[in-house]
Amino acid sequence: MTGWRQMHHSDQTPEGRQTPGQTLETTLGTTEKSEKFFRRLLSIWENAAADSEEVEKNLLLCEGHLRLRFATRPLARLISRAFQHCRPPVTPDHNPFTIYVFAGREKEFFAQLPWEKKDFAAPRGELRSGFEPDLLAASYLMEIVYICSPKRKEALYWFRHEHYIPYFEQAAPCRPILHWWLRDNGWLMVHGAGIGDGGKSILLMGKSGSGKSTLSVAAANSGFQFLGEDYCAVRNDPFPRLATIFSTVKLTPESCRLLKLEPSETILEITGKHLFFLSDKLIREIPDGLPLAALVLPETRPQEMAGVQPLTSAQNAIQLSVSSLYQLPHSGGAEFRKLAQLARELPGWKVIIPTGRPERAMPALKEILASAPSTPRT
Amino acid sequence: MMKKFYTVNRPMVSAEDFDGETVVIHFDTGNYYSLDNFGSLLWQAIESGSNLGQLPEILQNHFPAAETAWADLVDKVTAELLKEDLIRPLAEPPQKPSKDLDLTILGPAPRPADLGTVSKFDDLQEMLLMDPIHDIDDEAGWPHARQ
Repeated sequence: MTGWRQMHHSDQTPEGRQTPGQTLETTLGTTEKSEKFFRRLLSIWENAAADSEEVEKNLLLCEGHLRLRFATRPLARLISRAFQHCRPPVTPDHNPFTIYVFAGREKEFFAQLPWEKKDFAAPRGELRSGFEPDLLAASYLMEIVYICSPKRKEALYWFRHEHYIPYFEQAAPCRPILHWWLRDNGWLMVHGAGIGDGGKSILLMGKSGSGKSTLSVAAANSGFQFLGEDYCAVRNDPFPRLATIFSTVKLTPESCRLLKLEPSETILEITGKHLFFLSDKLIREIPDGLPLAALVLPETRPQEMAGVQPLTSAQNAIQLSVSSLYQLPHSGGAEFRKLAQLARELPGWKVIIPTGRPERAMPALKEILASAPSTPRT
Repeated sequence: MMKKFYTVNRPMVSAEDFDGETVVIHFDTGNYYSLDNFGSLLWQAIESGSNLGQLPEILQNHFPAAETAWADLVDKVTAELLKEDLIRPLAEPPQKPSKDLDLTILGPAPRPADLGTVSKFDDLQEMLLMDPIHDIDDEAGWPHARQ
């Protein structure tokens, strides 16, 4: 056992939970303690990269310079596919936000962590370090761990297995880390799909199963620009805008049949969804963000014709905010406030889609975009 | 007059007002709520640090309904907010300047019997929980499902 774990048992919080702040030297301030904790974990990445072949990728994502440093080539291949739409930055940041990606070395890694097994099943995967906001941490059970130091502009992204990356993680890599980074850059990650036309965009919102993915792909097949299937970035400064984060799509086999898509790559999971990586053509058509004109909530019903109903701003807020915030660790009132402002400012529509006929919703989507003001609010 | 002071259960609870309808999110339970215009007024009163014990009299002075009817309504909605862990009682008044309540959100002739709906939604609770896909075998890890 390392010194860290030994101190764990002798120095308990009233709730019985240890935090890094109580195990590191008590003479250090909170920031120094979090720095020391982060550096210990970073040294594991350094050892992993030294033992293999490091791969670095520099991406322009949501107008920011993101640097991914992979300890191994297999990780680089599996994770960077979701960012194929991102070009290298024309004017690189001299100190970009850097995510260190590595896997394995499980005993060495967990020996540095203060959390017990039960901590890894917390709601939203949120791990409490006691160093918030200097250090933010989350996990997917004990399979994936995300640790971010906003002040250092660095994050660690660890996997238990290098070759078994869950399909949902390949579709939306390092989501919590990107959420924290985007938030610091004025963007907010939201649970929703994005489509665009005529220089404006729509965010398709709603909980899983509402039809966002199917509708976004159907729209792309009908000539709309595709901006995202499951998560997008939004901001309201200086006007509402939407940008792409991941160039991936996950569809059920039923939706694949409906959309006449043959998956060239299938990752069979218990949920049975297929993971698609966008074709070069669709990737080339992804814009660098578009003004956000409206919020749309798809609803599928067994009827012949598509329909449109207005939503109140409260309904906008519920559909836009709840499923987003419930999935993003260390998010809360501040994010809700910003999304609420978007919900008040943007028109919201429920678009009723005949079962099995998403293409019938296209005229309604075009009309919604056409009726939105073309000049953004200043 | 009874003193009844409450505060919002931050940081796990957050609320936003939308033209007289308040949406409340509880980040720990995964429940979210919609409060009607009376619930919004009550929430406004709590946020402003008002003594809810004074609210029935204030309402009775503005609207034609018995003070007891307003008192029952205040108690009913307050009890629901407490039960849902959205607010908690305070022993002492909060240290903040008082603000006038916007009673216009109740409309011109509100009737207590028609007011006070707190709609609760728990359909996204499972999204808050950590294993959205399947249970993982403790020893083998992903992608091995627990047998």
